[in-house]
Amino acid sequence: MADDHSTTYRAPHTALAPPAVRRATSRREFFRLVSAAGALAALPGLVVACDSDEVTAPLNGIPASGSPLLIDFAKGDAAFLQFALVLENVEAEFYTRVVEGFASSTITIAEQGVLTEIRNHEVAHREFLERTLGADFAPAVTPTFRGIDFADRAAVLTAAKEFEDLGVAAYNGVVQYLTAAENVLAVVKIVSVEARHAATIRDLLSGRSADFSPNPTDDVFRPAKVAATAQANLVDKLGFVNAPSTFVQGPRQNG
Amino acid sequence: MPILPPAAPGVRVVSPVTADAVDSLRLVLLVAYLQSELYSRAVGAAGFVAAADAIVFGTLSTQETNHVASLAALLTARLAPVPPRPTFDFTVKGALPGFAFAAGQYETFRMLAQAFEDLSVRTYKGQVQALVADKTALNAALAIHAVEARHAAEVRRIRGKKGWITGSNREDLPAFLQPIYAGEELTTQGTVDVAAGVGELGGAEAASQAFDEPLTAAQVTAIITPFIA
Repeated sequence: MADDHSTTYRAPHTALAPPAVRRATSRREFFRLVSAAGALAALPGLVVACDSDEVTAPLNGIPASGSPLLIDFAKGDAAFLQFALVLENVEAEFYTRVVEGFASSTITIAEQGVLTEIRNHEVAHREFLERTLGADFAPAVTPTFRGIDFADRAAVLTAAKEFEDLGVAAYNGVVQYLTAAENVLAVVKIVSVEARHAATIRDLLSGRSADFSPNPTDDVFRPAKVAATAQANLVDKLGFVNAPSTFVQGPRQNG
Repeated sequence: MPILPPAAPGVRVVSPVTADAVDSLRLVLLVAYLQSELYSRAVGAAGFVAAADAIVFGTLSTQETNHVASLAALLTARLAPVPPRPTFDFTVKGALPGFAFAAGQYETFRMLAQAFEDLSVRTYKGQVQALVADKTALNAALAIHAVEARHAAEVRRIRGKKGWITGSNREDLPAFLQPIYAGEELTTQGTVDVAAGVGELGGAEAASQAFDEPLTAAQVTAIITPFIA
């Protein structure tokens, strides 16, 4: 477990099984669901196959080198929350490593305060989604951040900007598929905080410029487009089953 | 509840039109009018906006004007009349006596900008559910909603505040603007105690910051009414 970096920083699951056990169970649950599912739609360029059911993976493993992480959209709203949880795991783990690396980084003290709060918010989002989905349906996720130098302020902030912008576009793109009002509300409660993060990071990179809001309307991305980008930060091979066949574009027509 | 004019024969309605959607679009348009008016008045007052903030407020002015046009176009496409821009009273019926985008009043303007951006985020959030049947309008509202949150964070940061709302704290804004922040203090979402979930990583403070809360149409109307002459 020593190399399972993400586990170290998880808030305690007080009412649930220990994280490692629970995550393994979640992974097997995914396999079970997938084996029972019909058509298997791999994302473009992604290989979907079975390999080891390992819970742990090396720090900064090779993207898509791990076990399949398959989301079955036949499950309706829960699948979209699972998808969101995959992204929140990546964000929470990213900022956890950022905070861990403060001592050896060029990030200023003031920026450390901002990034620590964003870390806390992403943990809040992850914990909310995990607990809403419940132990059996919260996917185990192994993020990876190959090529990001956590000691380099500009590299960290640039990566953060990309994660936050993607998060905004991803949440915006799932609302059209949700059926339960409480899930719509939960997603829109989160997405504006991701947008606040995005503008804040952009302000750290380029203060008092126009960069905080590069367009008058934000992006709305279909899940497959988000997944294709998110895969670079997942050891797991992200795949969709019964993916939505239609998507209504946002004002920018770029999703 | 406004009555929609019947669709003329041969006119193609691009999206399902519901009275709910039209009401929602009208409400968010009202907020966009308020914001675009604030920024255009500030940018238009010679020497009023600090040079260091000129790019930020110029961007905000341009984007809010864009939102007004986008929302008006959505209403027109749904064969609904576009409400006229109200005459706004930025003295807020005397709550900000003498405020006129004049020398010495710059911080009052920046406070209003923060208040309106945070209000706008909560207004769109409260209308999303009413738009779910009209996916084009839904996506437009979501795309603007996120931009309003970017705006809010930037205005807050140039004022030296955090980009997000802590509890129901209005920071240094005047007390009459407190309704814009009321109800933001939630730390439980659905059935999940988020404060317990984050534990020592920020607890209740982080849990409240991590989720923005909606306002109802009635709450928004009550907040905006004093700004309308």
